[in-house]
Amino acid sequence: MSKGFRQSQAFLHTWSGLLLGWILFLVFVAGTIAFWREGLNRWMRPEIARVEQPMRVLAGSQAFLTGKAPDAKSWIIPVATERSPGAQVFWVPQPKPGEERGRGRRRGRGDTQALIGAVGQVAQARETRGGEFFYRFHFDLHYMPVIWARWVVGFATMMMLVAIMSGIVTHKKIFKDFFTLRRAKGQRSWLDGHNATAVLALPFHLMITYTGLVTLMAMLMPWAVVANYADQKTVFAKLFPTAAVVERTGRPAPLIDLRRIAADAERRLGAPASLIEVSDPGDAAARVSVSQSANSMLSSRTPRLTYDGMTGRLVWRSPPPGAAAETAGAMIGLHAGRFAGDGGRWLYFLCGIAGTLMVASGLVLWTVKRRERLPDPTRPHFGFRLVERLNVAVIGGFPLGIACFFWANRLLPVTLGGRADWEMHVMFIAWAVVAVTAFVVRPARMWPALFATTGVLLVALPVYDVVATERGLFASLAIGDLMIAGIDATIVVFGVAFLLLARRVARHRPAAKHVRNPRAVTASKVLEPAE
Amino acid sequence: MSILSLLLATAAFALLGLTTDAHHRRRFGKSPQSRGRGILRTGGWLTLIASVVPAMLARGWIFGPILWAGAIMAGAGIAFLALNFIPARDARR
Amino acid sequence: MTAGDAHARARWARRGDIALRVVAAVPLGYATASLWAMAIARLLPGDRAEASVTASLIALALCAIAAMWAFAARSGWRAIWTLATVAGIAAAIAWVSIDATGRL
Repeated sequence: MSKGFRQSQAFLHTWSGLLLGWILFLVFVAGTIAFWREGLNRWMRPEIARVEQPMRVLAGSQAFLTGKAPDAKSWIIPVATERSPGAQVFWVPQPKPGEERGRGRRRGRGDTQALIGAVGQVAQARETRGGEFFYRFHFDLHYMPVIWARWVVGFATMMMLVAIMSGIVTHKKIFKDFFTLRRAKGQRSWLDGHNATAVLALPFHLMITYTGLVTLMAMLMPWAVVANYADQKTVFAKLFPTAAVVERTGRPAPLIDLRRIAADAERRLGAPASLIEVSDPGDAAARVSVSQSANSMLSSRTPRLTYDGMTGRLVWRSPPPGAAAETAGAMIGLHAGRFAGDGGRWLYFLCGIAGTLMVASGLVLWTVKRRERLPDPTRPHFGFRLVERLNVAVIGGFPLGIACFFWANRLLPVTLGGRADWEMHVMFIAWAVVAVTAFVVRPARMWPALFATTGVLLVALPVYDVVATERGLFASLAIGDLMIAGIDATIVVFGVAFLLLARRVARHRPAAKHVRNPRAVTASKVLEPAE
Repeated sequence: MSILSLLLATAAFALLGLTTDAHHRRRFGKSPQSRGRGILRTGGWLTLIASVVPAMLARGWIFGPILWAGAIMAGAGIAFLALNFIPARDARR
Repeated sequence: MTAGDAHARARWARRGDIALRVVAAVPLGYATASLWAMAIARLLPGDRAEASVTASLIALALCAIAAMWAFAARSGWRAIWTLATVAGIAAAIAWVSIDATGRL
């Protein structure tokens, strides 16, 4: 490869990585945490019991919905597992006559959902988004229409893919450099750290970035569909087939016991079921659709069975998908990692942390490298100052915001209206305060302060759990609840890590460097813009 | 089988790491000669390819490659930590 | 022209070149990938939905490759016209195909 090519890709790597790097940091942090979303759904509701009998929850869900929404247009009942807090059931009311069925009905409206707990009753739990917040945030962001957020995240992801690919081709001695770790050598050490975290989990980074694009493919790249189809509905029906829609008859008829249908479905599928959808419950035309669990296979597009709601007779089975659709489904499944058992989940988590460190070290590396070249270190140019402060605001501020989010989950009064929203507001308020401060206080002061505060907040959380909840670390271990215990333990480890990081940063004394001749700067080996 | 894949991957990356100047010097006291380096490099790549087999045996055609990807990442990480953080015996005899 | 003027001219030329490459990489690169998504979706035999999915998967990678090409090309202008040509070929293929056999 010629020197010119490598230089051009080095330039591209730097800028495609930097310009939206802060968005990528947020996506990586939230996405990595989201691998534990089920556990967090439980951990953030410490008052609820562990699910032991999923069928009991299902029976309770049906009983609840029959009482609460007997004439609904549809019920949506996830099948509880021992990892979930219960079944978060939704129902869609019948549209009022003359009222348009609203597109993009907002999920999470408190009035048409409920959490059915381990004993089949509505769970008495604090209102919270739980782990779902992190999952949604990493592609929907917050406080903005989801389409905008997905375009921003999609665009940033494409830049990430470009950064990864250009980073690979620009790297002459990728293996040699991988093993190298020079410590306490300023820019070189940061480069080695960035290389190590990037190359170490390179298969993962490539996979997660490309598959991330695939999850948004319908929005980002709809043109292939447009080329073949004049009507979107046709292709949608082809790729996401469902049983024929039956008109509501108006004749009431009792809905069969859903447990019988679930058992039959699991027997036919040879795998656990995860979602049960009932259309027109209580009507003679009721239909029950059961989807196979995404945990049991690689592809996210799982087989579906549809039953008659009165008799329990199987009326439809989803056709096997074509090779391309299966491939796309497998890629989405790889991204979500739901197929992975506990060991695999940990591997995903560690790789996600590597990715987060890769992005963060890249952002910091940019300032470290530039600082060594500043003609006047006491008066850096605007671009440098902006990047430096954004680094503090985002890399330092976002983890602190998350720690505050967890504390809000613990401390906000249970009776507070809109409590789930307020947990999130607390997070963003804390982060905003940090962000504003980052532009006022010197970075050298901010970094250790932010890391130390985050560390203290995180370490204190499991302590609070032991003291003030029934699900403290020791209690969880005693009943063998490794998921909750694991989350508490991981939080402690991260807290300690942040404290150690704070200490390291506070003690950092940059080696005195002679200011380089500014003219020599422009003759640098790597092609960079003049500013 | 999965463990075997991981061990082979770790060994492979250790061998490949030892082909680099800095690490070879730390462990063997001298820069790698072209012949020694060739042996280490070939050995490393062969071991890496060999690590595919137990992964495929353990989990089949679909999940086997996924397991292998995980094994090589974990193996590379362990080798990296070992090479950089296990203190070398004093090479000066 | 003084040495300072020459230096400033070079800097602006370089910025212009980068700007052209960004245009080549982002709007033009996306357009090129999208047009090839359409062309490939038309050209692939078999089920139409399958062809569309395959073409979309390929096109995502093409976006990234187009961006890399935009910066690897010898100059900004070269990046633009080569990508535009490649996009034009795809557009022609897609147009002719849709004109001939229509869409579902």
